[in-house]
Amino acid sequence: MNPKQTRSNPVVSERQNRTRTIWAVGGGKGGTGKSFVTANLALCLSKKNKEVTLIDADLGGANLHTFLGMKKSDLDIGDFLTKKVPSLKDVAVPTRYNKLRLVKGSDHLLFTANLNYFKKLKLLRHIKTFDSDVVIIDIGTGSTYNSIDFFLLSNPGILVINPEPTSIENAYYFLKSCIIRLLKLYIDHYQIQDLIKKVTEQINDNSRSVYSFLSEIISQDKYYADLLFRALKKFKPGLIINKARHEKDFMLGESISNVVQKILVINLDYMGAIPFNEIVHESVKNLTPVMDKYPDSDVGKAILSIASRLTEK
Amino acid sequence: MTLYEVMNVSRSASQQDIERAYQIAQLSYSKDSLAHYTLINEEQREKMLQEIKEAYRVLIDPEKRKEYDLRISKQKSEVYHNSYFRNSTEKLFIEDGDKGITKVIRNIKGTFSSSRPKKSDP
Repeated sequence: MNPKQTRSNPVVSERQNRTRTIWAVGGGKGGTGKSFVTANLALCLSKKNKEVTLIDADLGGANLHTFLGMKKSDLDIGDFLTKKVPSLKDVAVPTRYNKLRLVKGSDHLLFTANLNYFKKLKLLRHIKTFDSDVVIIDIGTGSTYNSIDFFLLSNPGILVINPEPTSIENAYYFLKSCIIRLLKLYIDHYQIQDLIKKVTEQINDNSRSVYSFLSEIISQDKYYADLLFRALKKFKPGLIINKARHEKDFMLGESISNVVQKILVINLDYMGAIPFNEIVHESVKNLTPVMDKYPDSDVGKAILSIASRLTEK
Repeated sequence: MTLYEVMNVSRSASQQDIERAYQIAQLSYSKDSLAHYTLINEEQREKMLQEIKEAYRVLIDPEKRKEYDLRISKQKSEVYHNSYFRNSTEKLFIEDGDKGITKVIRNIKGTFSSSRPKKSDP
């Protein structure tokens, strides 16, 4: 068997037969506004007559329900993961908004914080069965395998960051982790460990660059070098800047996209910036999304613009 | 890496596209920009700015661009990858103390040392 001819793309194979649009919102650092953006994007789409399902997969820090003015209920994603209910649909509850359903997050930490690969695939299979136009997954903070895998398997993964060094540092760490995970998946899938072993033996320990890694593969096998390079190019996450206060904050997204494309090889698609506004704080306190109470505010308009860009992507 | 790649523009970019790309690049790699935070060091940042300036100098001049296009079109297509990977930014990835790729390599080496193949997910 010639693996070069017979093996399919490992990530794409998971995406086959997809009939729904799945977005995953992440970004590394906590407090950037991922859940706020997720809830409001979902509400924005449902107001545009789209059937939307929100999944709170922030396994270990779930509170998406609060952003929609809901309380914890008896059933949540943990009940599905621990097989108390057979289907994920069993834990999807209607919200007070038309066409918007929510799978609440779980505090069953022991069972949900570290999902194995098969549970993740099972979860993804069930997510695909939802009769929704868009499914949005809040993958929470950090660079765990859970968040990375959901981010890689969605289309697109969306990074929400703040125009601050700490947020950007964490976002870059998250992106690097995704790139490494992606390369590892390809290496395992195409069973090219022998080639990689040969390459890694020749790479100086001080040379930790993916470019040097790939260029060494080129010297051994152009086909696989090309394949890995293309895999990185296919990974096209989106970027949202939240809490933009100054003019340069609004321009930062384009700069980040520019730098990432050159240094990390991947294409990061800048979706737009959401201005800082006290109404966000107010809306969270009042348990009412901005898109419900202040849809015509600058924040509401920014979210609407981002939602339009995402649906066109 | 071609000058077009340095500028993050396509081969068919207009003069206006190149001007805009140059402005974005200058902004992106300015000293106080957050966009390159933790990704590159000061020396690398300056080097990239120099490369961008040089690329701009050639691409914004129709005559110089024409000469350059002619020169690169003569190069063999197989040079593409080598030129792309063996460029001045080659060592920029994960050089900020993050041992990401080393970790992958170690994981991969760990896979070899195992007598049984491991699952794709750790």
